[in-house]
Amino acid sequence: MIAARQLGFRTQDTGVPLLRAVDLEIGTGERVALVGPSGSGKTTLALHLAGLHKLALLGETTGELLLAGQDCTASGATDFAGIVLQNPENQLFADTPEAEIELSLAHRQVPCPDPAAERDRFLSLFGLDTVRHQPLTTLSLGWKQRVSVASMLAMKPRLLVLDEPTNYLDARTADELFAELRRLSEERNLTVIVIEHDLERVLGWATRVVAMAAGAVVFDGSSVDYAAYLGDRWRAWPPAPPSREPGEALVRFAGVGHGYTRETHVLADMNLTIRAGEAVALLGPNGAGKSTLLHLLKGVLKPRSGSIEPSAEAERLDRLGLVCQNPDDQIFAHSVTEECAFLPRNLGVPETESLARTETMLARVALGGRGERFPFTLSYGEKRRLTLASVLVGQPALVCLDEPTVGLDFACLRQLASQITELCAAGVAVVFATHDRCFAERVASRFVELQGGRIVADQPNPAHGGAPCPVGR
Amino acid sequence: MPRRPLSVLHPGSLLLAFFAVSIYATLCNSVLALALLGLGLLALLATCSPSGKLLHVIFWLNLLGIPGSMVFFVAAGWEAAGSLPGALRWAIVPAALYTLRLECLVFANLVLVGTTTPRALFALGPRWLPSGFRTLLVTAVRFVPLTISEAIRIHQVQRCRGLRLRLWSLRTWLPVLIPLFLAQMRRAHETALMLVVRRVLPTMAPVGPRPGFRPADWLVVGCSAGACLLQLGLLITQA
Repeated sequence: MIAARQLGFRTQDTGVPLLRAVDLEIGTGERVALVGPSGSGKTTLALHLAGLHKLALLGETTGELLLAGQDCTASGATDFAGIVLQNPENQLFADTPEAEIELSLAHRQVPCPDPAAERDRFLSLFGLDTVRHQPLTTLSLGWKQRVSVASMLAMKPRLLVLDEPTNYLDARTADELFAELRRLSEERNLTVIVIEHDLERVLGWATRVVAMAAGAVVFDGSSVDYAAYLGDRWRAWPPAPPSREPGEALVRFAGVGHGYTRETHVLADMNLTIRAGEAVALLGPNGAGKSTLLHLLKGVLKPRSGSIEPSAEAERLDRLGLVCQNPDDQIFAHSVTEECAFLPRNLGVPETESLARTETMLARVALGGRGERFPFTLSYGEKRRLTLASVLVGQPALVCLDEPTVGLDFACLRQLASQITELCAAGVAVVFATHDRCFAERVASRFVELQGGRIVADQPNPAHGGAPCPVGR
Repeated sequence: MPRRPLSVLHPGSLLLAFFAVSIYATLCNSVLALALLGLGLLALLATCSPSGKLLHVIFWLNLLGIPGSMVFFVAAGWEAAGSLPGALRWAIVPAALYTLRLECLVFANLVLVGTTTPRALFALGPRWLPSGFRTLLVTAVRFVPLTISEAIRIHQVQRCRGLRLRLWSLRTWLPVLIPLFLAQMRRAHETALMLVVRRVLPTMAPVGPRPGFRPADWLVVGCSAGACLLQLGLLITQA
């Protein structure tokens, strides 16, 4: 079905080779996991294999690329594959989940005999029944990701490429997605290529693993062989932090409720105390209210009911740090140092001290010596580290991290785990919202589980002192 | 979900009304008529913006535009009159006229975005709108609210980093404007890719039940066409 011979790709502007002599043949019905560290060329290769390189990339493709027997090296093929990109917001066109799937069914190559039944099937498959008429603009990123995957699957493509599809999905939905992909592959002979950092999940699903590093394929074989090839490297977490007594209370929620419109309630009757030195993992399915809770903590949102102590939002804005989901929402400066020094300057810290703090913080997140670099040219993992540094440089008493593990490879993830542990040891409280339970079990001292805007469990980390984490990246 | 005012109308008649308002606002030379039109559109906008956030953003963006237009006209008047009082006398009426015109066009656009859903546009057949134009409108209708919500999100993120926006200082706006601009570039690129992958381009097939054309639609189309013709007639007579 797909044959790549000595496939190479070089960008037009910088001339950097992103793919180097890739030889690969993928047959019909195969389930391929494309793995490797950030910046190793996985997305570039996937866009080539989907025939979309001419549309999506600017540069020169060399070698030979055959898609369904046709040479597409120079021309690409726009009707060969379906693709789901990382950011669901940029691939949806309708106003509700129902309309989005209807749009896909109307444009699929093989006409659908009963569009209404097929639409309902996809809605129920991805648990979208309850939100089928809800405006997409009011849904969380996790819900939007479900809609984008469902609408692409509804088009019945011959080849489906998914670029980190579980980034914003809760564990249950991610498992359901992979089960559906397996079923489609087995029943309809659909070829599926998934780019994923979550090795545990993807190795159990794939029939073949293609691992990349620096633009070249370094491993091509079965999941079992790949697990053996890696050995213990992919489970080697840093040692779990010793359990400590939490310190003084930093923030108190008393009966807090919030909603984005008058009719909806995102959070209801929330009672929570965050103490110094704690690492609190906020867990729960998509739309449970995790991000809203972080924004309330920080003081960006005001509670509709109840109270938060300290009540002065300005005080919380200065003493608390928030690292958002997407680093691109934050980065604007012309150098890494300027980006990092933005917060202390705004807090009125003298210039010499700002720069000294910046230098120390950049070294702590392994960005030392890159202060003069243009921040937009950093890799995704480096950008995430920069956004963390640019919040920590304000020396906050409490740090909120919104989905900090999204898009990070295992090396970056391990680094993040160490950084959180260090912060807590220094008496800083860290609250992070995540779907990655394994990461939470490795790092958090306390689990707060949300469901439907309410706390359903608030307990010490069950994995601390217990059995080792059963899953890992 | 509660239905918004005007969303009961046929999307085709809404589009016609939008074009009529745009033509009227461009041709009209009466400050009073434009002010009334602007107020009417603002009232409609208030009904289509359920959270009120949209209105808030629009107000601030427009406030930025008004002094900009005034300075432009005063500068032009200075050249004509040679003094500041003369320039102000010369500039005040045309500045008000053009500012109101721009405001009306902005409000009309936002009313269209607030009252037209992509789903309503999907349902229109090629008889109403060519498919390329329909795709363009669907993308535009989604683009405005997404851009506004993105701007709010980026502002929140930068506020967390101590940013305090000052209307008169462009420097304080850069931490919001630069990530927003880059996000729009990325969105445009990925949206274009997905339009092709999802086969919406080159031909968008009509999706969903066709909307009916009711007496209210005839009234809207009639009024829009009448206002445009009247304005054209006035212009021709004056000429």
